[in-house]
Amino acid sequence: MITEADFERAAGVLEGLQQAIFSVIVGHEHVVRAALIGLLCDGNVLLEGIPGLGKTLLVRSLATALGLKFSRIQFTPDLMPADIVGTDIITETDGHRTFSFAPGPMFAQVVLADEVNRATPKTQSALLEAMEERTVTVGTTTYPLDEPFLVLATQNPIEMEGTYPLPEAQVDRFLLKAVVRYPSLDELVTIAERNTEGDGIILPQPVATAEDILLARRVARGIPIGAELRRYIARLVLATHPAHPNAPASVRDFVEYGASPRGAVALIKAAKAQAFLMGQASVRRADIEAVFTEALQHRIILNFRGEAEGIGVAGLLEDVWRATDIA
Amino acid sequence: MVVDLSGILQTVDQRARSVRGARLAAQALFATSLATLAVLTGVWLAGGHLSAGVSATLLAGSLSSATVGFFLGRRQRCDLPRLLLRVDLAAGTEERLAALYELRLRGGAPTYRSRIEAALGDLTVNARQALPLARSSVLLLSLGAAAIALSVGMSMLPSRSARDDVVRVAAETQAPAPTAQPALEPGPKLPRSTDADAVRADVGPSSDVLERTVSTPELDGALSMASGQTVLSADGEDLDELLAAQAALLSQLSEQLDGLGDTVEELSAEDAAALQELASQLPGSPLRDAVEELTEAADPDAVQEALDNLRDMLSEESAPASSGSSEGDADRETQVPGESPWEPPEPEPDSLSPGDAARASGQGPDDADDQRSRTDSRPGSAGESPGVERMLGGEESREAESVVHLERREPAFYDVAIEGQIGLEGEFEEFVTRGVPLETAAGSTEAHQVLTVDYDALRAVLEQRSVAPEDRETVRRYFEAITQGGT
Repeated sequence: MITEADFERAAGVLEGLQQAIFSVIVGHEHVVRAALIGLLCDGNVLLEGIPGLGKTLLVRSLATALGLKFSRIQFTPDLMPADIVGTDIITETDGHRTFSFAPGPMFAQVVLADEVNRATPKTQSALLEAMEERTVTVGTTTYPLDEPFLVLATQNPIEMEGTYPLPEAQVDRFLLKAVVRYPSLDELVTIAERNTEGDGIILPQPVATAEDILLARRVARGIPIGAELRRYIARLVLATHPAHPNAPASVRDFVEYGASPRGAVALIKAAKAQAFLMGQASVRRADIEAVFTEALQHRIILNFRGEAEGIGVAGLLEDVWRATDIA
Repeated sequence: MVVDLSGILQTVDQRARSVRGARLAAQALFATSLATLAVLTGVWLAGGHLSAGVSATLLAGSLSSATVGFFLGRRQRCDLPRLLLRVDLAAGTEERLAALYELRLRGGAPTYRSRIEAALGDLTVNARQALPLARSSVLLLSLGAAAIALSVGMSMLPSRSARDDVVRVAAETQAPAPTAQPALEPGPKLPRSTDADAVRADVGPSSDVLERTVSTPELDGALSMASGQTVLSADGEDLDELLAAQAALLSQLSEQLDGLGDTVEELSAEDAAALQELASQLPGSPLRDAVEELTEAADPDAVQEALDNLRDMLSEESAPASSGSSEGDADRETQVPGESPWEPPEPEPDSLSPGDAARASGQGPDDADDQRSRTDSRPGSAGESPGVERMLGGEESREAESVVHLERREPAFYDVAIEGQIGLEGEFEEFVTRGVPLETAAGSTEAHQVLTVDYDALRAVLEQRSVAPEDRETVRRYFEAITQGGT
């Protein structure tokens, strides 16, 4: 049972966490918010953006502020699964040689999978079990991962040559997909100032513990949402399907497959976390709207015409949002 | 601050039920009122006319269906989460009421409830604003009410056929009023419709026969004698009996006078008694006065003078065709000897009871129907008696039930200007009999007097006029034409 003190404590932790992150990160509020939502919802976040925008710094700042174990995996085409999940190695002790498991970088609590689309599908799939089951299996042994566990994957949308786009099944396992945009002028000036003046970038001190995060997760999960809002979310998800009668014309024209039921679940969970981040005790329509695009945009597959015409999924989701009445 | 969620739920639920009931009522009212209007319009277009009772029943059915729809709508359960979301949207409470209701249903940490209630504050729900009656329901209600109003109007409209008759009569009244002619004058005295003239022109070789037939004073009299005040409802056989009885009386009287010889100086007591008995069977007749004058004559000259006078009157009664008018045409000379042209006596205005007068003036469609049924479909004595009584005039007529005196009088036609106009407006009653040549009843001065024809009397006259069988079809077609298929 969540008490008022729990609620206050969790809200305080999140507020301190945001302050710590924004002491290092300039701008990218929605990306930070997406990362925190992923943390609160026990989900994973896919960050998409060109190199040099601070994605890695953001994740490192988050991990440092959380006081969690952090690991960074730079995905390359020759990266093997064993390189990320670990492997059994022969060790010699007192003249006896035995196999012992050497955990890979996946055994952390905040994992940054940088440029995940550069690895082969075999390596990418090694992430699946960790992302979904929170376990890692090597040989015949399954190893549980520490809680909380969060995978933040990045991918570069412009350098597609020699890359392996994530399969839909893997993409669907990301709770949110946040697009990291280029900073504005003021933000860029501030970034330059922080990196060139004084001691440079200083990562924040931990402001929360793993227990704080788990408590915050329980508080966010208990946020009530009206039954009709749940139906509204279901209608929104159904409207992304081109065959559905409530789908807008743009969806019927350019979409091959709409969002999966996992998308509806992700939307509700993300809306709850968003409401909690906003200090609310109930889910509002505004909370749903805030996470609508990030929760569904990576779950919609364009058809050939949509791909050929370069249709943006975000624009299609805007059409869906406008076409679906709340009551 | 604690939000009274139960009170809000009750308010919202009541409002939602009312709105749902109103919507169902609007739909029911719209559908049934439209059906009622369609029925009334269909009947009206078909020339019929629903009675006030049926119309009222249909209208009451529409209103009843709306009432039933309202209560059925109120009985249905409401989707409270959806309603609360609508209230949230209307009140700007950011879906907190819906979340609070969810917490109430599923349970949850009190901290969420207290925080939501704190955010709601002292919320007052305006259910009327949050759950307004849909425009479609308002539109349907308005259309239903309009259909009801139209239905009421339709139920008050005269039937289409009656309206057409009114328009026809009004059109004829706008034409120069024909100068009324005495009934015994020959020639086409009655104004005839164009259709009738056309039919008469179409009959070709038979037109002369038709002309002779329809131009007889008897026919004119038969057409004109029957009004709302002077309806002779006896059928042809009854009329024959009456005429035969009168002829028998006249014959007896003639024989009695023949028995007295050409010259009489004094009447014997037996002759006087026999004459007085015959006179007693002729109430109100000039013949009876002449007989009484004869029996009461004191000196021989007076007896002879009274006897000659009585014989002259009797000869006139016995030979009506030759003595009716010097203007009679050849057809009049072909009448059967002994036939007595008759004219119904003018009704004494004060001899009719107010109720009779009202019926005679035709104050209502039912009266017109009754009149039509009396003249058309009631050949028996049950229908005969009131008509005879009315013709003879009240209590006095009952004293001579066995004998009807058909008094010869000057035709009672008046040159009456009937006010009216062509169109749908005007003060014409709806029960004017269709197809009747324009005539007003004897003594009538009002435009809305009943215009009708006693076809039984007409048939009797035609039979006594000895219209050749081969010509009767032509005559029948003529009258069917001028009545346009009516009665």
